[in-house]
Amino acid sequence: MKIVYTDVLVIGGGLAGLRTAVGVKQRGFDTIVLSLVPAKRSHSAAAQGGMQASLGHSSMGSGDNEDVHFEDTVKGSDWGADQRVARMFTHVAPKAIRELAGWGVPWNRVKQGEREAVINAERVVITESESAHGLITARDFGGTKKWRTCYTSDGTGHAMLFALGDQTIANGIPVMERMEALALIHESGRCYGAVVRSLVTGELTAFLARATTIATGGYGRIYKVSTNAVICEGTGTAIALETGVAELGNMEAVQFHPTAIVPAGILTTEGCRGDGGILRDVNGHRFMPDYEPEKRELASRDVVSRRMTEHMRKGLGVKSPYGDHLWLDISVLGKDHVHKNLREVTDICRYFLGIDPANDWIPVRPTQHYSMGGIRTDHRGESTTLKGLFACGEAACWDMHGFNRLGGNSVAETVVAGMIVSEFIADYCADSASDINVSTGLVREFVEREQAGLDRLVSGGGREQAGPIRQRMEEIMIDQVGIFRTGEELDRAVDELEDLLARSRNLGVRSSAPGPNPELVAAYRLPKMLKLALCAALGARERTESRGAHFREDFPQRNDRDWLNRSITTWPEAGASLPNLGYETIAVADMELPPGFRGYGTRNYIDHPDSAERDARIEKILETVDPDDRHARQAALMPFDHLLPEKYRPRNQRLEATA
Amino acid sequence: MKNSLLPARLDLAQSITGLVLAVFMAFHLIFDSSILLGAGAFDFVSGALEGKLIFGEKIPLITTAVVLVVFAIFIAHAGLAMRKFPQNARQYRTFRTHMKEMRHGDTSLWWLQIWTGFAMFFLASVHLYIIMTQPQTIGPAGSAYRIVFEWKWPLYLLLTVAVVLHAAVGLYRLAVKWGWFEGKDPNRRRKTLKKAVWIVTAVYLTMSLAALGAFVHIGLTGQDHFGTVVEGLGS
Amino acid sequence: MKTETRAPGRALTIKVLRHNPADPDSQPQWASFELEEYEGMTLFIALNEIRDRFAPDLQYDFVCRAGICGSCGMVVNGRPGLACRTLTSTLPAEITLAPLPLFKLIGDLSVDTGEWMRGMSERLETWVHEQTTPDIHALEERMEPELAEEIYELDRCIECGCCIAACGTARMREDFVGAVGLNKIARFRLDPRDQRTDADFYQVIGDDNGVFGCMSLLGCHDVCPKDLPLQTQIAFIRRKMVTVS
Repeated sequence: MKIVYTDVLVIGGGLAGLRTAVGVKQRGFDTIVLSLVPAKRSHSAAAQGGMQASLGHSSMGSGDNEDVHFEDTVKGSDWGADQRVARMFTHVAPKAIRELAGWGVPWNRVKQGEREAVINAERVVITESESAHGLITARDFGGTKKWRTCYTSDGTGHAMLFALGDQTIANGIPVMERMEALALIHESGRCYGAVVRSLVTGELTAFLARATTIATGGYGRIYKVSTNAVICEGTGTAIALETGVAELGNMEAVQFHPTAIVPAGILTTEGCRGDGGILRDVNGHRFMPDYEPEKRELASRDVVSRRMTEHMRKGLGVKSPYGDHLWLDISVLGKDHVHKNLREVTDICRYFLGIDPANDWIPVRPTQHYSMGGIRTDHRGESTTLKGLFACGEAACWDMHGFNRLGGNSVAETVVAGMIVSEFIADYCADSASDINVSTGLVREFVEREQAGLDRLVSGGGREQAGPIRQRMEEIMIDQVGIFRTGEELDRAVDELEDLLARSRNLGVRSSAPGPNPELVAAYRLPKMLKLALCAALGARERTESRGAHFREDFPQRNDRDWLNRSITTWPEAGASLPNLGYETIAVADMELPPGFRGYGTRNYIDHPDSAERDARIEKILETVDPDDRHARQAALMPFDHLLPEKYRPRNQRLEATA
Repeated sequence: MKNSLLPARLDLAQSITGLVLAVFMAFHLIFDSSILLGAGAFDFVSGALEGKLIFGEKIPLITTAVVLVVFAIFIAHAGLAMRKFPQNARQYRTFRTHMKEMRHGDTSLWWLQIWTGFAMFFLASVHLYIIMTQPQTIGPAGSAYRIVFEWKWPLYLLLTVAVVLHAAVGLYRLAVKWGWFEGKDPNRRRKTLKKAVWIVTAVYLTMSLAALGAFVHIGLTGQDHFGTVVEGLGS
Repeated sequence: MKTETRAPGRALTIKVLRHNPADPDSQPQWASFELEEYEGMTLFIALNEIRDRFAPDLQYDFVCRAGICGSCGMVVNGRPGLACRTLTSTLPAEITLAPLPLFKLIGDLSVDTGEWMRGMSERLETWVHEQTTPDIHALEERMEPELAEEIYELDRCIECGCCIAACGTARMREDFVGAVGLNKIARFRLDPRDQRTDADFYQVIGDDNGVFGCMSLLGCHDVCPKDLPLQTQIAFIRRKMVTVS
């Protein structure tokens, strides 16, 4: 039995995982990153449009700060977010941008003087100030009051991932590629590492660590059509679930991105609309202003996706052999802008659709995009129930996104969470409580259990094949656990997914080829994916309200009275057919921003009984604080400084302050 | 310093020697082709190059000296270029397979460079040695005699083809290698350069092969293609 | 947009060079698969169909399947390219697929570009070398907007390995850094945040495994899926490196 020891085992080599590894390494701890693919190929690379951070350098972002970013984020989350975490996040995001700038990310910069832009389908002239010249600029994204999304053309994630990948190499951190964690090794509520399978040789190795961090991204691939990379199968989240101890949060909160191309399901960035692109229907009519007169195409993603689906249901979509779609028109932006600032979009349109988006409209429709749900952690990134297990990025439910995340906030979360969580992991590792006191017997037990599972798939005579079951799961998820949900459909979805899970216990693999054996890989991942699907479907069925991306046609109101909480799922019995579902209250009394109207979408919610009281309390608190000192006002309402690692507590310098 | 400056110097030297040789050949072949204007024209040009206009008479030693310098540059260039040749059978096979699969113009042209270069080790060396040691024989008659009766025409035929191709492609390679003439749109400029390679090759090959034909004609008939009797043939 | 129903497509023959090094009995050999083409079919779709229907153990790498991540570099009808964004309609009815040469073969069409790229990065130190750590609480260093765009232009490399597979030099001399490496040097040289000098860069690429090994065959430039200006960048670096003294 091969055993590898390290201080911090990081599972996942995307932005969140790499930033975590760099963070603990710089604190002097040994770390190993495991990745399904070469780290620079991680799905983080596909983030196109940008990263939100309230620098406020561009004139359209002027006056922006952490407070505005916080407010946008909380409203975007439909009050599902942990507001303290959202505060930590908005405070550290500018630091993350600046750190990455130092590491070489070529952020687009403010150019002083006049420039043309398209806002609300009209050409306008924007004047950038001389004092901001050369500082990092930002573009507009949905659900934000200010232009706040910092970017490098439309290859932001790529530029960030390569800068971080290079930092990982510079720090001498080993990244073990094509390694897949099959199970977490744990005992008595403490995680000790993972059983890992090589996707080259097929061999199992036990990795033992003081801290194990899961940063494996989302579970979009349980859906039939997803913008996610094919590796985003959620297996990192699933191995946490399979401990029976770790909790998952808000698994039913699944985001649909309004504009993925049809039929390939490849993303075209929100930057298309942020930069002035518009949505049109079968008649060429721009329909979003009819539904959302104020934010139009730039309402939050859940709202735009629903409005688009609603419009297509009225028969105003464009018919195609691949189903209805709508048009995204960025030709209004002009050839220069499209070919320079939306290059990846141009490439994607050229290669997958054979069109030039500077001239032609792009066929798009809402497509599964992001998993707000994930491993439930505290503000430090540690699992609420399994000690020594940390999670960050999309794989985690930290929880700054609540039931809907804003565009540009997830790529920001990856690095910000990596920065913050790595400090807490380092603190944890510095403590003797993190010592690895685990018997090799236990390790052997875990490795042997995994090996037996694999052997059973190859030679256990199981008669089910992974392909058809998986296909059915993907269909159920997209058809019945999609943008619009009803109790009846969710009932059927849960039932059928249970059946599929039962069938998946009888999987068999035809090929016994030595090495990675892709058929075997598909087979052992399937039950994990089915469990996640069940968590999402069950959570959706039980949540009889609509919040953020979770929309129940039979319960269209957001119901703060009964549902201002986080869904928590665990899977304590390996052989069970359903997870345990519970709820964690989100206390209004602690909120800096009590629930209210988002400012877009339908104004339709049931108040929480504590809301009015909290509003009054806030008013009273603010009377005692200097109205011009926004930091003092914030601290009076909901202090969060003490939650941050000390090195990230200083305030962010702002351009106005230097003038 | 870990890396010495030698590789930089050698790389530059390969380019410079190549450029010098290509420019030399550009003129050499034009001068040779003066035979197309008649024996008298060739006589005048070869005489002028041997200093007749300055010293009043041909000084063949000038040729010897020039050839000596060219020979040296040639050997240097060959030596430098050889460093890039496939070094063993495995590399040779790998490159050939690669070229066949890729079907990529610039890659295949390099193979042409290798082979023309390799051929010139022998062909050009023989030529240079003869001219260096017998400069006094250069002239319409002497050259024609050598070409026809000393059986140099097959050598010159092959050498002409090799040198024109090698030099034209070599100049193109120099341009893309050092980024000359990139202009605003390097991709389009590269296509133009490539076209220029083929035009130059065609022009020079036509001209030089015609000149070779003219010498053969003189050798066989004793007169140039204008009918002027060439004195001294066979002497 | 096409509203008509699917017409029957061409009959495609896809020949895949198969070999599983993990299996001692495996020998490299061509395997042939017949598929019916349909509109919008890419090699990503075709290979998935082959795995589903004929060869469950077929190995290949796709991640983003959108031409962004660079995982799926393979030799398509003799030329390296990204399989995921190659529409079968742009190819003849007989398609041959082979793994990228030079990189360690994992199996069938899957090769280990990651290890190679990491080695290259370590050798060339492809990261910003700064003397001081910037203060992340303060305003960032300013940069001219045009310069930021120029750096991004070179930063777009996805390390797919196509340039290496298309390089005659790299094929013959395995230690050659290739266009991917030289482009990185051009990128960091352009970046004012990297305080290395030309003399420093000469230390890593000033030899025949570096820029002077390049024979300007331009296979790299012509196959680069991201259309990086490799020709001009390598020429530029060469000019800079010969003037180091």
